[in-house]
Amino acid sequence: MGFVSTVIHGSLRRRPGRTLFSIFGVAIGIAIVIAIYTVDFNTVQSAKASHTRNQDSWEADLEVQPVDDLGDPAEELAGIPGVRRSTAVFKSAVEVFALPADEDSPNAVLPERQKVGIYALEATRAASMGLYMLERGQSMSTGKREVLIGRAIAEGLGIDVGDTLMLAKPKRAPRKDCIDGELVEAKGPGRAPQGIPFTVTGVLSFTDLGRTSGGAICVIDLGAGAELFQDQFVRPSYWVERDPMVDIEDLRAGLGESFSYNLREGSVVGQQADERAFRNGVRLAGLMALALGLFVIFHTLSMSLVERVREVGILAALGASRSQITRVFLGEAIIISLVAGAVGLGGGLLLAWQMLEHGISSLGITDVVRGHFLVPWKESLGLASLGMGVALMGSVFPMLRAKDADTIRALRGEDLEVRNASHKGFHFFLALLLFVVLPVVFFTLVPLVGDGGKELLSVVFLGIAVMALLLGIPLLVPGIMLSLSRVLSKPMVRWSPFSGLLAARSIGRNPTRIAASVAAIALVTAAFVGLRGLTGSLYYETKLWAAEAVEQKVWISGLDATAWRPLAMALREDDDVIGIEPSSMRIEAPFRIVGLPIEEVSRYGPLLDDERLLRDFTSTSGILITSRIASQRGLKVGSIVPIATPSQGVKSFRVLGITDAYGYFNDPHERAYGVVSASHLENLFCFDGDTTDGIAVRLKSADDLEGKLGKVAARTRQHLGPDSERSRLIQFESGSAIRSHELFDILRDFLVFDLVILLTLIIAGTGVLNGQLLSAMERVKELGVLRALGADGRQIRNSVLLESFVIGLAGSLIGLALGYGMVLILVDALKILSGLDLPQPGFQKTYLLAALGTFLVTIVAGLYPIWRMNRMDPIRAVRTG
Amino acid sequence: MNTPALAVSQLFHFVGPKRSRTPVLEDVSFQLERGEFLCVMGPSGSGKSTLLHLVAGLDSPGAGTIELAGEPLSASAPAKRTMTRRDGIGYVFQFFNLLPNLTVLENVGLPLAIRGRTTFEQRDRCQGLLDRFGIGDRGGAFPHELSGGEMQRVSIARALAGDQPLLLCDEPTGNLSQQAGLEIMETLREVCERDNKSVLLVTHNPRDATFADRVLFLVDGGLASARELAREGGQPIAVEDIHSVLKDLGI
Repeated sequence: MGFVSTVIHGSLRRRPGRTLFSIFGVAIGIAIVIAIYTVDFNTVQSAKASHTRNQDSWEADLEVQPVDDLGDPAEELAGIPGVRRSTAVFKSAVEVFALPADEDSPNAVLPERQKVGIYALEATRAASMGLYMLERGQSMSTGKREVLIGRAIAEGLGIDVGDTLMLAKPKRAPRKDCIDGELVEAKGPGRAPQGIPFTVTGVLSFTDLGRTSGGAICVIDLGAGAELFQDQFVRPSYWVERDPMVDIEDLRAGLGESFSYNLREGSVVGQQADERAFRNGVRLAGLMALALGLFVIFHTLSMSLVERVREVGILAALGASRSQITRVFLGEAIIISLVAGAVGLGGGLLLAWQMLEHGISSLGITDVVRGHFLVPWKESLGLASLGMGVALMGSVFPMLRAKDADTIRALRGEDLEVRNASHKGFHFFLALLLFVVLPVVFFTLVPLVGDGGKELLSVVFLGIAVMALLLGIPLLVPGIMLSLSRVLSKPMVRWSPFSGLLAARSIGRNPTRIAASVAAIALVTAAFVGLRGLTGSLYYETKLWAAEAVEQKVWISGLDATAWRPLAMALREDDDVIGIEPSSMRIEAPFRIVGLPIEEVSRYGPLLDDERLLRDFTSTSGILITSRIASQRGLKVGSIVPIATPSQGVKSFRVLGITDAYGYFNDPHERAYGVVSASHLENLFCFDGDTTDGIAVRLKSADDLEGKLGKVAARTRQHLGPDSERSRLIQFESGSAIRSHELFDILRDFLVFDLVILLTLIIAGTGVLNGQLLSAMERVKELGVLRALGADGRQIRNSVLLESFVIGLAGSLIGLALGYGMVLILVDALKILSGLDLPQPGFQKTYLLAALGTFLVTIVAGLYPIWRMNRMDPIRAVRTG
Repeated sequence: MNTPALAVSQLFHFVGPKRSRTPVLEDVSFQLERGEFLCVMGPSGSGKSTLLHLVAGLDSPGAGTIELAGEPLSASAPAKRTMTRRDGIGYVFQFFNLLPNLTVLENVGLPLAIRGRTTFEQRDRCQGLLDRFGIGDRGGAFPHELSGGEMQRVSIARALAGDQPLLLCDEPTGNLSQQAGLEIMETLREVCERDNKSVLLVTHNPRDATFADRVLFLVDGGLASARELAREGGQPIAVEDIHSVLKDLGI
């Protein structure tokens, strides 16, 4: 081995503790951020895959229908932020058949007709939107009788590019329209007897639109479609290509009152405001872990250099050049970084896999992510490289300063200049980390999404400012730590003259190290407190919602098309029951709209209290919306909600009020919805308003809800026939149970944050441990002398414990104070990001528990250095030069 | 005429800020011939170690010149001084300064490793040196596993490993027992005679000085040149003579 490798090998081999903890510190920082990114990546991917699996065929991400009086919908769409391109589309079915070879011959056999789906699109726009890909041939032209055919047609009919294909309207039962609640047979022409010849210009590849109906699909120009379907052709819908850089909420707001829209769920996975807030929260937590990990890396490696300043002196005295000394330390840092990078990458992916296997996703706990694991290699390797790069930086900068140190002073062990160089390195690194590396990493991982990104930007910079405040102040002003040590030394010396003095001197001599450890503990404490504050706020918000929406209700499900009015009468025999909400009338576009009978909902809530509201709700096209949908969509009283109907175009509903009192059903749980009079849905959608599968029973009060549930259950079973099959299948759930589920879900979903911060705490603990261990190694001679002078293991142990106590106490208290401040900021930020009406939670007992937990971890982190120090041979410590 | 191994001429060195600097060495001049064992004696704080640091090129003098085998050292750039030290000087420290993480064999091989020689190339020479100094079986041990005398012998072996012509010894017995110190001095004398090395020893121990060919006395940063002692007729310098000079100089 050469000089460099000999020294590196010796250093790594003989300092296994420092080597392993350095690797561990770097690796865990890298692992956490890789795990979080991978979990988030898989969350979105698996959710998208789940939506795709549930679809029979391809679907446009966003399909909109204009209101009737809108002039030029295409022009309107072009002016809406978030709309990149659009095409009008008319969807129908058509019969296709090949032109007989000799159609004039009396013996000609009638060709076999195949019924397929057909899309009439604006030829040029559709091609530019990339809605389909061609296996062969070319796209159709505007206004011409040209057709693109799916693979199934090409193979089924044996036709190809250049052939002629006959298209004819299919023979089908007369269409029925819902007119004023009645299904009326629509007037329309019969099928075109002969069909129209179209030239096949291309065959669609089996992707995107070409995948529809298993490839049994035709695509023609919109003009040709109007000709083919003639008077059957109604106003088309529009397929919209979104600009991914524009916030989905902005797009929705732009579509506003002019368009009814259907947003494909799979296309916006993780992009809804609350989802984005949650994902960004997870990523911010990961960023914090990364920041702390990098900080620990830098701390460990630069401190290790300070410890080895004498070695630098010896090597220089023996004739080693600066470049050789540089290579020694750089080589060591490279080895530690590479091993840590590999361990971090592997560990991060393993952690991500385990998180996903346990249903932990960046959107909370969900079964969707189980068994789904893809590795985002490019990003993961990038993150591992970043961690390794910072680890190298952590050693290179102080090393560059250290190699200029006075060799003679280094030989004497006078390392002040190197220590100062290391401190300056800290400051430089800190500035670089806070103001360059972290923002770059964050915005690389979290692309800004339009205007919504502005809030995100401010939150991120706020977070960085808090971290700068937290980490920067004690580092930039080590004097604070010196003062702290002076203040603390008196009581410590009084408590234990020897150990106290030792601890106070150690703190006073290493202000930067102590400050870094305090800052790390404070950061984690603040994060825990911040998280508890957020969950506290969500908890409180859920309780407020539950008080209005669920606490005075019980739900009956599994009624299986039961006539609800007789059941309502039976239930109302009990004085506690004041209203019934049947669940069956609901539509899902543009968001969930529930139809409820006025005669029931007018018995309680705002419709009972406000006569005018009741009058408007009864006599106009009005809608009551929940606070969640109001916040999410920016809807206010007076806003217009366009709702597309099957037969009567788009109908506009005016928002009459914002309330959570009506229409909540737990299947599935959805708090963002609107309520209209049942009569509207009966008239516009021809819903059966008499029967239902489930009902919500509104009670007079929430007292003894479980007891009242029992009464409701008994009456319901009596009404349905106690021994009937239906009675046996029905299920009951109380509002208090739903409330408990919701509150539990908050804790469960936020488990991912707890996990991340717990891992961050391990990093912080490792940082403290490394600092104290390095301090012990640095003071090996001093400790040996002390042992030689008669100090026992207990005294040495107490001095380290006192140091841990000071770090833990200062870190926890600073973290508690900053965390409490952060809660105020975070809750406001989450309010903006998620559209939730979150209250400030006030001081929680859990904050104290978080502070106590981090304090205890600091004490535990001191145990290994104590063990190592007590294992030191005092004779060896004194003798080894 | 033979070029001396080391020539120090009108050497001055100061410490402290420029305006109120304190002299540590004043007008120090001497020569060390090839194969000569020269001792510089003086009490603590007389500037002995500073003189060694300057000769080793670890520091630059305030004034004066230092030449190693005729090559000026003092005026060189730090990088050049490093190279000169690497090729021309072996260093033996009072506190051994062995690297605790390296084995004995690795410590001895360091000067060779610094020059880019591989472990394989070093092994025979390093093992040979250890055998010569009676510690051939301790090559795999770490410094903390050795006695003080053994550590210093490793240190001498390390200083010789690079085969540099000049050996600088800074109080090599200062941290050893009487017997171990004696053995170390015998070793250094043997190295000087057998290997034809020039040895510059700084010490305040009169017994160690008796192993030298010449003894210079450094008092308050200046050489008491009139009181130089030297071997005569191959006979070692008498310790009584050294004590006598020290007494005369008030040391």
